[in-house]
Amino acid sequence: MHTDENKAIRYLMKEMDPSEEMEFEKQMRGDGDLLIEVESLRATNRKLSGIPHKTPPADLTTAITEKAKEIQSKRKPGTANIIFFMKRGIAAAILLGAFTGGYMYYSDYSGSQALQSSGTETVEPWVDRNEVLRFSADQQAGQSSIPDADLDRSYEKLQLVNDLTGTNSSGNGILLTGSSN
Amino acid sequence: MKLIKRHVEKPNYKSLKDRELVKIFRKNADESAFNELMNRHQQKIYSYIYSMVMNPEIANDLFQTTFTKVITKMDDTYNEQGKWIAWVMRIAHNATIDYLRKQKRYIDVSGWSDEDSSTDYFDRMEDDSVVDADDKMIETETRSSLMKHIAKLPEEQRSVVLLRHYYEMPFKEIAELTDVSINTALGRMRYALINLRKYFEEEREEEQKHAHG
Repeated sequence: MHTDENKAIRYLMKEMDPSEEMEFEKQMRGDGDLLIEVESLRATNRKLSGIPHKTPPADLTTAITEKAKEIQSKRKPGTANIIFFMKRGIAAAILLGAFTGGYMYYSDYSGSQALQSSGTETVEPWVDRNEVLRFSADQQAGQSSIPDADLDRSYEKLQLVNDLTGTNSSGNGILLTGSSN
Repeated sequence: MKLIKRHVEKPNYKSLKDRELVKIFRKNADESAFNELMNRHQQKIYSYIYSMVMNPEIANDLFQTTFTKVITKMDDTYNEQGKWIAWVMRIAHNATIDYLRKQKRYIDVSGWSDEDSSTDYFDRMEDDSVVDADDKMIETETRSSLMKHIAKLPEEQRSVVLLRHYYEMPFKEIAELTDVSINTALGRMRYALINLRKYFEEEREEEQKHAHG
C-alpha cells in the first residue's frame, strides 16, 4: 500500500494508473498546497535531466571484453563438455539405479507374496504317519513329490493277505452283509 | 556415416535482445555478443558508478570489478528469467555501496571537472541547443552545481535518483535492487528532490549575497 506522502512522487514519475492519476489531479485542483508541492518537486525533478552520462575508457572496456572471451572460452570446450557428459552420466546412473531398485523391489515383493500365499501351511513343522518330523523346507523343496511319496509309503503298510480263512479272529464277528431289514 | 555440414551464420547482434545475446555468449563464448551487451549498457553502468563515487579511478576499478563478477558469475547466478541489465545493475550497485560504506569519506565533487581534459564529460555533452558561449557556460555551471548537490545527498537517496535517471527504472525494480520496500524507494526519491530543492535555494541565496556584497 502506498502512503499519501508518496502520491506526489508517484504522480510525477508516472507510476499511477489512469484512474488514480485523474483522482489525484482532482485532489490537486481542490488543494492549493498540494499543487504547489507537486509543481515544486516537478521543477526540481526537471533539473535532474542535466545529469551527464559518462563513457568508460576504451582500454578498460577492451580489457574487460578480452577477459570475458578468455574466461568463457576456457569454460566452453573442455569444462562445458565435461559438465554436459557428467550431467547425462549422473542422470543415466540415477535412472539405472531406479530401474534396478524397482525391479529388485518388485521381485522381492512378488516372491514374498508367493511365500506368504503358500507359507501359511508350511510354517509349522508337522509329523507324518511314519512319525517323521517334517519342516516347510522339505515340503517347499519337493512339494510336488511329497504327496506321491506319502502315497507310496502308505501302500507299504499294507500286507498281502494269504490266509483267506483268516487268522485274525477279530474279523469273525463282522457280518459283511447289506442291509437285511 | 554421412556428415552433415552445418552452415553457421552470424546473427545480427543489434537486433537481438539482451537475453539472446547472453545465451549466445554462454553457449559459444561469442565475443561479439558480449561486445554488443557492453556497448548497449556500459555508459549507463559507468555513469551510475561514477555519479555515486565521483572519482574516475575508483569508478574504473568498480566498473572492472562489476564486469569481472558479471563474467565469472553469469553461468552460475544469472538465470535468464530476469532482465540481464537489472542483474548487472545489482552487482554494480552492491559493489559501489560496499565501497562507499568501507570508505565513508568525503566525496570530492571536484572530480567532475578536474579530470584529464580529454575525457572531461563536458566535452562529450551532446547539446546542440547551446550555441552561445555564455549559455554554454551557464549550462556547464548548472550541471556542475547539480552534480555537487547530488553528491551531497545521502547515498541511498543519491542511488534512487541515479537509478531512476539512468535507467528510468520503475520504483518496483529500484526497490528490489536496493532491498527496500517500494514505499521506502518512493520516499527516498521524494526526500532527494526536497533536499536538492533546498541546496539550490541555498546556492541562490549565497549568490545573491555575493552579488549584493
